[in-house]
Amino acid sequence: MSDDLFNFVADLLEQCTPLDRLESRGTLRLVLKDSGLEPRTVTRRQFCVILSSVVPRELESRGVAEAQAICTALIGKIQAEPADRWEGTRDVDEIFDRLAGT
Amino acid sequence: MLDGAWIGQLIAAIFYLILSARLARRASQTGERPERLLSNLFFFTAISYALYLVPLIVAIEALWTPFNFAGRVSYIPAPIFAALFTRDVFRRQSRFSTGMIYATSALLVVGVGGSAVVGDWEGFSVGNPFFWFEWVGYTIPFGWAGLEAFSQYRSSLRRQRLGLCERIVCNRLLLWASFGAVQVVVSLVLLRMYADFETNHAFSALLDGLSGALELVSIALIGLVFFPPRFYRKLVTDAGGSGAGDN
Repeated sequence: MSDDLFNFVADLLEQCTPLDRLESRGTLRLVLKDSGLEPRTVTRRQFCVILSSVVPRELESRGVAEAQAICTALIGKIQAEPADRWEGTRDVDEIFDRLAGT
Repeated sequence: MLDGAWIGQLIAAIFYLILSARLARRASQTGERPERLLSNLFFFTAISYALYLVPLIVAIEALWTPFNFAGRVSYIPAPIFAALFTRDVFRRQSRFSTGMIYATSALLVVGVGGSAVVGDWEGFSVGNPFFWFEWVGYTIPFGWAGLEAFSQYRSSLRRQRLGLCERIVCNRLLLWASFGAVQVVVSLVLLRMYADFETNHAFSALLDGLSGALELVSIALIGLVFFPPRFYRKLVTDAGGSGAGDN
């Protein structure tokens, strides 16, 4: 289910930048790995955070112009999707937060 | 088990029963499966420990074998629920996880059932091949839980730097990994105890005390995961100063 979220974002990134399919997916996979996340399990909230904080820097380092604006647009498109579209994803941190009743 | 050395197990049984009830209540409030799985894990652990303790507390030797066997049987679901929790939380979409659950279930059922068929009701006989099925069946799930949680703990440190994970949650993953590791050590201690028992027909006082102490360590770790006192939360949260991940 969450792999769909990864594919969704990767496809958008490919459309919005000069990066080809391999480059856009590779960039996202590297960013996710460096952020302690996995394409299989990343949630909508987590993706939005790295799109606003980490991905712009990575895109700039690959020569993509207006990286921040592109990432802001991507966040908007993720948030415009129905709330239950990727709800099958389990957030480990959220589970371990909840277990202590916090 | 020696006089007094079972105190750790008695405390653990009571603690796990209380924890199970609390998690069951939380599961009914949230409707979430991980809480339910953990509640079941600790419920069957508590029941099993209690059954092992009955003949010791009432001091009737004739009850030793039937209650030991009942304790073994009632423990079978516990490692299976541990494996289900690990799959649900850490590796939900993985064939390996499903295989681990089936393997754990098969090992435990064959181990306990097989040893009963050949007359080893207490399951202390290391020389009995079925012993090893059971031992692996209750050791591997906790080792797996520990490894998955430790891997997640390492990832969570990176998430914490981005503000995606709170420091206390990172710490909770480390505590759960430590609980899994301690359970594996308990299994190794039990293995040595059973080997001694087969040779000397008595448990080693040192190992018996050690297994009791490890139960208390397990309780402490689990207590910090599920009932973290305010001072501990503050200690963990303040430990790294005001980093990006402190919420």
